Parts: sequence; C-alpha cells; structure tokens
Amino acid sequence: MSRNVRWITDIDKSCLITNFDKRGWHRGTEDDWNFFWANVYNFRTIMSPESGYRLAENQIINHFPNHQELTKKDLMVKNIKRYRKELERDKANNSDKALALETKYPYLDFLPVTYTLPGDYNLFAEEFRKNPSSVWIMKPTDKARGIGIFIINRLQQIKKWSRDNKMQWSYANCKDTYVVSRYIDNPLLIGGKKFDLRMYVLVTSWRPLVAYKYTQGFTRFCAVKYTSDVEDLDNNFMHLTNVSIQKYGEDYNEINGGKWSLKNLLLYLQATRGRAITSKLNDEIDSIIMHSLRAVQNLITNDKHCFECYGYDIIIDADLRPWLIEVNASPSLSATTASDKLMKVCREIQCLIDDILNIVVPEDFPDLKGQRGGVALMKDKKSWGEFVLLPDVSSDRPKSALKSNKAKMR
Amino acid sequence: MLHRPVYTSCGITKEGLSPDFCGAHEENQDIAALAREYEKALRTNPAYWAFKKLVRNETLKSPNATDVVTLARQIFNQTGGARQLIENHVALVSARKKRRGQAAREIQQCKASDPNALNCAERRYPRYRSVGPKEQLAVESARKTLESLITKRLNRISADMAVPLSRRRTPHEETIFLDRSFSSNQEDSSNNPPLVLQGIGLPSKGVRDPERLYLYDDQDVLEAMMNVQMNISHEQSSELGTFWSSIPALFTRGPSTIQEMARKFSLLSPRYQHVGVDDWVDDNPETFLAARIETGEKVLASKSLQQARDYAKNGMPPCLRAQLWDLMLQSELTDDLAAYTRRHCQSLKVDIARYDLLIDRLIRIDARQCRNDDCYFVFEDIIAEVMSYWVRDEWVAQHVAAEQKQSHVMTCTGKIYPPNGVMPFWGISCYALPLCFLHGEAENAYMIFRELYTRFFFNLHTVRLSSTPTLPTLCKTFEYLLKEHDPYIFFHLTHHLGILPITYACRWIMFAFVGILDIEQVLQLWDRMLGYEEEGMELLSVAAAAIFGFRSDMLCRARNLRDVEHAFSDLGAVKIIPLLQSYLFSR
Repeated sequence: MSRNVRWITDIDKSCLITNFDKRGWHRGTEDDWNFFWANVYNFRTIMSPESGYRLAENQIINHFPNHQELTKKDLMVKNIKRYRKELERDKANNSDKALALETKYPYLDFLPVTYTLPGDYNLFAEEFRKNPSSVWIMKPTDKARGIGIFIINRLQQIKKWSRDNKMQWSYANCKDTYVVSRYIDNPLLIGGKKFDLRMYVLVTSWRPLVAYKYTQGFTRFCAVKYTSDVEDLDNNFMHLTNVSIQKYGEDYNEINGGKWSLKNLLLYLQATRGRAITSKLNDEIDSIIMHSLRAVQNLITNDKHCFECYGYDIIIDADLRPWLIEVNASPSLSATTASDKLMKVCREIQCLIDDILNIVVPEDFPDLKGQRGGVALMKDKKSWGEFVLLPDVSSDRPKSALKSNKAKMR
Repeated sequence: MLHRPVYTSCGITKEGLSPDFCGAHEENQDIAALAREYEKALRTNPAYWAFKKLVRNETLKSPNATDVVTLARQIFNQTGGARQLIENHVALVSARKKRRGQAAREIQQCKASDPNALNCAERRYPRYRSVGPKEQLAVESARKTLESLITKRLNRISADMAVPLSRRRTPHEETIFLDRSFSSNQEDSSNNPPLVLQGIGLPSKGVRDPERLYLYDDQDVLEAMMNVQMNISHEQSSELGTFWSSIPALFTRGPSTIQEMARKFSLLSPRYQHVGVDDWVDDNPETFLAARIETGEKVLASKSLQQARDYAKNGMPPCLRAQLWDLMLQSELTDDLAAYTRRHCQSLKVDIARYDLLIDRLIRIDARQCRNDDCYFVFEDIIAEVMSYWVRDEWVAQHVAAEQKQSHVMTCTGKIYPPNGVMPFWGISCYALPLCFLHGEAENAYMIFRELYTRFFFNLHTVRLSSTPTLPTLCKTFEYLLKEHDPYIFFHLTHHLGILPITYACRWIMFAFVGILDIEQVLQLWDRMLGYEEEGMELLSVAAAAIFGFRSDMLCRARNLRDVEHAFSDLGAVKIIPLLQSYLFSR
C-alpha cells in the first residue's frame, strides 16, 4: 500500500491516528485528502447537495450517503417490515432467489413488535389493550447511546410524558419522533445480569452486496442484577446496557467495563446450553444481519467512495432467540475501561480499525493506475483479518439458472 | 506406573464384588471380606436401594421373565447402568481410602523408624526420596508457624470489626437475612465491611492491595515453604543452601526431568489429536471437533470413569465438559444427582441463615475480587454463593481430613471452625471461577467445586508432605525443570537480578493458572490434570516451566523487575497445550 495517503479525521481518537501513522500515511487538510474518517454529522454536511462537494476518484470516506435507512430506528423498522412483505410475496411467486434466501437464512421474525409514535399511536394503543400486562420501551428515533430512553407498562405514562414534554401529538403535526417496541422482558441472564450483544458489520458495496461480519463481537452487561419487577422499571442501570449509561452507575467497574468477548459468551453457552442451540443462535445472528442489509440494499446510494462499519445491537432472550434492537452508524471508538486495561481495549479497537482499512483501501491507493477508484473491490481472503464474508445468496443465481437449463435440456 | 489401582476389568456380580474389583493394592487382605464390607457400606446409601428397585422393575417389565437371574444381571450390567455407577463410586472412594492409608502409614513409619534407617516409604517407592522424622518435624513446625499467624490475624480482624467468630442469629434476624439474600437481589451493604477495590486483576496476578482484609496469602505460604529450608540447613543440608534452589530439597518428589514428565504424560504428545490444538490449527477443525464430540458422547453414555479420564487426556469439547467432569469427579453414589444437589444445598442454606460467621464476611470480600477481571466479573453473585456453601459444608472437612489431618483446623467450643475446616487464603475463590463457565447455577457449580477442591486444590495451598503432589513438591519440580531446560534464566534471575523464579511459578501453581491464562486455556489444562488424576497436578509445574521457556528471550534480556513483570504481562494469549507439547516432546 502506498505511503502517500493523506488522511483526515474529525474524531480525535488515538486508535485511529496510531493506525494511520503505522501505515506511514500523512495528515491531510479538508481541501486535500484521500481518506476521511468522519463522524455522522460532519459527513452529512459534506455530502449534502448544498455543499456542492464531489468526491474524487482517489477519495474514500467511512459512511454511505443515506445510511439512515438502516441506522435510524423508525426507518429501519419500516424497511424491514416492507422487506418481509416483499419476501413473502416473492416466495408465493416461487421466486428462486426468495426460496434460496429462505433456506440459507430462515430466521426472519427478529424484530420486536414496534410502532412509530405518534403516527402509529392508535395501532399501538390497540395492541397494548390486547396485552395490558406487556412492557414497552420508548426510544427517540434520532438519538444514540441510550439518551431519552424509558420503559413503560401503562398507556397513561405515554400521555403524561407527552404532556410533560409539551408535545401535543396530532395527525396534523405528525412528525414521528419516537419508536415504541415490545420490551424483551425475558432476556437471557448470565450471573443474574442482563446483557446485549454488539456485532460489527462492514459493508463495502450495496449492489452487489459485499458485507463482512467481524468475528470478535462483544457483550455488554448491566451492572445491577436483573428483575422483571415492575417497581424496577425505571432503573436504567438494570435495563439499559449502553456503556454510556452504565458508567454512571454506582456498581460500574472501570476495570472490567462490563464487557465480555463474544468468544467467552459462546464458551459459556456451549457448556451450559449445548452445541446445537449455540450454533443455531450463531446462524440466526447471521440471518439478522443478512436480512436487515437486504432490506435496505436497494435504498442506499451505492457510492464506490464509501464504506461503512455498522454496530448491530442484539438482545438474546431466555430461549436463546436473538432480537435486533438497532443498528448504529457510528460505533463508539472510545475506549471505556481503565489504565492498563485501556491498552487492551484500545488494542481490540485498533484491530477492528486495522482490519477495516485492510479490506477497504485498494493496493495502490491513492494511485489510480487503471483501477476503478474508490473502495477496493473484494480483496484476497488473507487481508480480511477477523472479518468473514457473509455469503450473498443472490450470487447463487447463475448456478440455479444453470440447473434449470440442464433440466430443460433433459 | 506407580501404585495405581487397576479398574479396567471390574467384575461385579449381583451376589457380591469380585476380587479384582476392589483393586489389587491391599496385600494379604481377605478380598471376599473386603467386598462384603463394601457392600455393607453401600447398603446405607439410598441409591443402592434405588438401583435395586430399578433393576427389579425393569426385570418385571420384560416380557420373557422366565430366566430372571440372567435378565436382572443383564440389566444391572448394561452400559451406563447401575453397575457402572457403583463401580465409579467404589473406585473414587477406595482411591481416597488408599491415599489416607498411605499417608497414615508413612507418618507411622517415620515416627517408628530409626532416623538413619531407610524408611518403608522408600522401600515401597524406590523412586521417591525418603522423608525422615526430622524433615517431617521441620515441615510440621513451618506449618504451625503459618497456622498461628492465621489464628492471630483472625482474632485481630474479629476484634477490629467487633464481630465474633460465629454467632447464632435470632429467629427475627434469620427471617430478615433470608428475605435479603435469597428472594431479593439487593444486598444490604451495611452488613458488609468497608471495601477498597483498587487493584487490577485477580489475586493470582500478585495484586496486593494494602487495605485488603485477609488471613494469609500466597506470599505467606511461599515464605512458610522456604522457611522449612532455613530450619534444616542449620543441621544438615546436602545442597549448597539457597544458591541452587529456593525450595528445600526435602520436597523433592521423585525424578523431575523433562524426559520423565514426557514419559508420564505421554498421551499429551502431538502424535495424538488434541482439543486445544487440532481445533484451531487443523485445516478442518469442524470435522475434528464433530468426531471428538461423537466419541465424547459415547463415553458419556457408558458412564465409565476410566474412559472419561482417558478421554480427558486429549481435551474436551466445551459442550461436553460439564457432564464429563461430573462423571469423572462426583464421588457420591446417587441415582439422582440433581435431587441430591438440591437437598444438600438447601440444608447448607438453612445453616447460612442460622449462623453469622466472620469467615462469611471474609469470603464475600474475596469473591468480590472477580470484579477486577474482565472475564469472571459476570459471576460475582454466583461465586459468592458457591463460596458460602463451601464455608459451611462439613463434607469438605471430612474429605480434607481424610487426606491429611494437617489442615488449618481450629476448634472453637469443640467444633471445627470454620465448618469446612479450611481457613481461606486471599483469592481462594479463584478456584471456583472457571466452574461458572460450566454450570449456570451456583448449586451445580458448587457440587463439582467441592470435589475438585478436596482432591486437587486443597493440595495447592498447603505446606505438607504427602504421597500426592502438593504445592511444595510442585514448586520443587518446577525448579528442577527450569534448571534443566533454561539454566541461564534461573541463574540470571536469581543471581543477577535477585528475583526468584519461584515467586511467579508458586503463584501460578497455587491458583492453578486461574486469571493467568485465558479461561479456555485454563479449562484445557484442567482437562488434562483431571485425566491424570492427582498426578496430573504436576502438569501445573510443567506449564509454569514451559512459560518461562516460552519467554526465555525476554527473561534473558531482563535488566530489572519491570522487565520480568513485562515478560509475564500478557500470558492471556498463550495457547497452553501446544506450549506443553513443544516443551515436553520437541527433543
């Protein structure tokens, strides 16, 4: 890889800069760069039509223009709901592709029941009355890191909350600002504690879909023992696993940071639950990733200058069924644990960044020499590091076409 | 092979136990009488009658009930049937009895014999060095010094905190206690002594918080061990004091060369396939694992103790480990382990609620150390529960006492204190941490823990002489191996830098590598240790020596303590089985 790459970043994180330095890259300027690691807000400004900015052939940036289709909670839910309907329809029409998808990734029902508010309020209220004892979680659609999240078990609470926030909802003023989802109130507990799973997925192209799963995911534990007690519903330290919330809890330990590697989780599950159920869980997680990506595949602008690493938040329930909670566009690169462990966590993040860069940056970058420009086309398996390529079912198409041809010939 | 009972072809009939079943180790004993004695003992166990009932019911259910005796025998003898369970139980119990007998005989012999004469133990085990009464006395006095230190600290803590060693709760307090600890999860923090948690890593990493509340730690044990040398060297010393060794020669346990270890643990050789090696270097790990799991499931179905041990020597797939360890270790004869576990732990819970022990508080603080580890922190509550069962369980006292009377037992109003007869050292809960990866429930984890503790871990923190490996002999073995393989490192560290290699190795061995190696590697190492039974503990010495060899470049270049610490700072990435293999078999 060439050393003449000029990088810039607006996230001042040592794990990024260390990596650029290691590659012998140079710091560029806003007017002269090849590789830009931007935060979401800056990215939007740069890419907005008003800015008039056009990316050059030898420029790479770490987001796709309308990634919100996947990373904004209400849009993701809408897209996946629509995608499932399409898939059902295709299946009914005996589409090869839909059937192949279904066989390879059979797990489709991975979203907790979700409504957007205030738009779907009546639907939600109806559902709520059907199950009066159910628990729901309210999340603002455009915020991350657990901001503005709360849990409810009575309709009154929503009404009161909207009054308190002076949010007079009406159909005239219908801006969907919240999603309300069925709360997974029987999460799998380990050592009595609730956790969620964070998986990283790297997309380098949407059409055709080229996506990699990072095999070194991790789990984040709540510091407080979990109870499904109604009285504890407002205890965010028990219910929300976000590190940004947990670290203000009294029981938060800086040394362990409340995190476990995916490897430890799998070791534990294999021993306590068995091998079959553990590998089924693994397959279902692949299924979640694949279907959620396909749901937005045709919506996201496929720009060859862009790549993006998504952080998938998944909750596993007591029956070892994974549920997709949300997808993040700006997975936190900050190291959250203390002193000497800091090195370890930073090393983990560094490995992730290193693997990402190895995959997305073309060999002679930023030299073009007959290359197509932008993000590298699929590279050799050796440079994937801890990433594995998620097999795209649509690439099976020629094969099945061949088969049907053969059948015809007979 | 040394005196290991042979249980491979155990012939047991319904009428009684055949000769070879009881093992050929008891000389001149009337074997039939012994078998009768075993059967009589079995009759006191409800499981015996449950099995009998089971065989009867099965027999009656069968359509061709003409040849009842043959049929009953068939049912009794079937693979994984009652016979196998009884065989396992008897094998475990008689091995324990044998160890007890041996220990008693050795002590007797030493007391009786002339100091200069060869003692019986040596005649019997010519490979082992003789232990004379003077040595026994020296060890005994070192142990007594340590014990009095522990007692002193215990009394001081009791006085400082103004908490008695043991106190019966009033019925009212008992109700409150039960409400708090078993129904709700919120612990009352006022009940706990103030706690400072500033250290990083588990006690096995040598983290020593000056504020911690403890009775004794690995350093105290190491000092006690090294002090034995001091006592003897005044009178008679065959070695040049501490120049060539920091562990007294009397702890030598047979020849400890790499070749000897390679012979002893020959099944670890890379000629055989291993979980922990072939599942990550092989081209097709899935096929290897699938085949391994299939074999493991057969072993599990056979319920054969010996087969499980042989299987363990080549490592276990994570999905079968919990069941196979149970098969290898559970020594209670029971037809329903789950029910037995529930009953037993229930009675311990009643006792926990009834008595407030000072040791309970110490052990709770100890359990909380797992917060400082990014792998075990999840299990803080489970480990606290496991350890509180352990403190109360008189079963532990009985079985530890069976091994050796020289445990840290203190009587207080005629009772053993604490009830399990073991004074906990700083970090003792580390032993139970890896078990949380096998069992999600504290009760199940505890039942396997107490077996492991009484057979293995107890030996790893006591200073005493025994026919089985103990911490001092393991440390001595480590030193021999280090001096053979990396003499320069030994010399460089000891004499240039003044850092005794044993200060690291002793801690690693004492904690059986928990918190040193990654969890998966600890379990892999323990698989092999359990497979080789008590002798398997020597693998801990080999592992410690192998790690020194692995880091030899860094250690040779080390100029100060920081360099040495640095060399051992990231052992979490070590793959222990391939390391053992290259250490033992590469020449």
